[in-house]
Amino acid sequence: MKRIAKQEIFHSVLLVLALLILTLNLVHNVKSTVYYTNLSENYQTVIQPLIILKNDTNNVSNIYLSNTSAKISITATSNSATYNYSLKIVNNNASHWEVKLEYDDCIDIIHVNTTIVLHNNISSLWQIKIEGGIKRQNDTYYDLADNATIHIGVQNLVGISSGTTILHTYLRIKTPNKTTYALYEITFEFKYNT
Amino acid sequence: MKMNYKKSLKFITLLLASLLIATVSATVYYSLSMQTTITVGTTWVKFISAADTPSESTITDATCTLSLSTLANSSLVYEKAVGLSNTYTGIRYIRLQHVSVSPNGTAPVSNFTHVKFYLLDNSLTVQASLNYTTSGDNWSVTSTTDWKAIPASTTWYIKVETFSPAGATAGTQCTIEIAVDVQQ
Repeated sequence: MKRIAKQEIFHSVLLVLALLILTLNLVHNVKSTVYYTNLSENYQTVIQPLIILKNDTNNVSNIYLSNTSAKISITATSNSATYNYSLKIVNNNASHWEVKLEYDDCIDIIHVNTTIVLHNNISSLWQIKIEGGIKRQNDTYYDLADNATIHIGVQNLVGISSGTTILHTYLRIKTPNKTTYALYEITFEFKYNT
Repeated sequence: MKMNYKKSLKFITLLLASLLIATVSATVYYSLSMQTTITVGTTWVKFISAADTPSESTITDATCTLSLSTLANSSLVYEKAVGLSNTYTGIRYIRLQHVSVSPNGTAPVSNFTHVKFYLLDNSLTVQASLNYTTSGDNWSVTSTTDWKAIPASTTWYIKVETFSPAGATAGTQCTIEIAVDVQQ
């Protein structure tokens, strides 16, 4: 009996030693981190646009799905012509906004001369001018009052040489005193045949 | 009573095998002894409200929850969605990392085109970005940004740009969780 007990103790010691060796070996795998994490959770919700684009009385605009982008297509002539109601910008809520047209890109701006303005029938502010193949941008915001409508006007459009001028712009819509803004893509296409 | 030599032999084999594993591993790794004292640290770089932080947002030092919007067929940009203030007297290194996005792999995802997070310095120059874009019903995200040094006592910003496709369904929502890691 004594021998059996000794043998059991011997086996237990061997087992403990084996486990100890394996456990100590695992300690080598411990790593430490040296940074902490700040977490930011962001909910994005698709909303109805508070400001929408609409075709205006000159009937030269094509409004795309969702009413947040448009293309204005006008055929120029050799005589200067003005289209003061090319596109409507409609503010459907009781908030005040600031808007401006920003140049993005262009193709062949040599074919026409024109001035693009924002106006509300009382006041107007020029936004982009094309003259002699050179474009200029005002970069000044125009007010869009609560529940108001303003218009994009194409003034003094005159053909210079045959071809199509494409002007890609963004209508930047900004909350006053903030830097939150939306960008609506508006493309101008001016064709001229001598 | 005879001694059980067979059983003993098995245990000795087990011991030898253990020694062998430990010895082989020891040729690959070595250990440094370390004593650690744990102290509750200060959150030196913390979230703060900024010019474009929506009013419904919740901000504490180490967490923030922003309620943002996205418009169909147009970009909506929150230039200063939230501030990151380094209150430490020296440089701290920070980076942006993806944590989770939901839903993912289901139909509502197609109501979003992209959500981009930009890390802007105090002169509003982009230092790093984390971009979430969709393809069908799935989101993909760019890899964790490099560490960027934010100077002492300086506020940087996270800019968020959202874009939804034309015809996106109003009211659809997604949740994106990102981490701003700060090196101690």
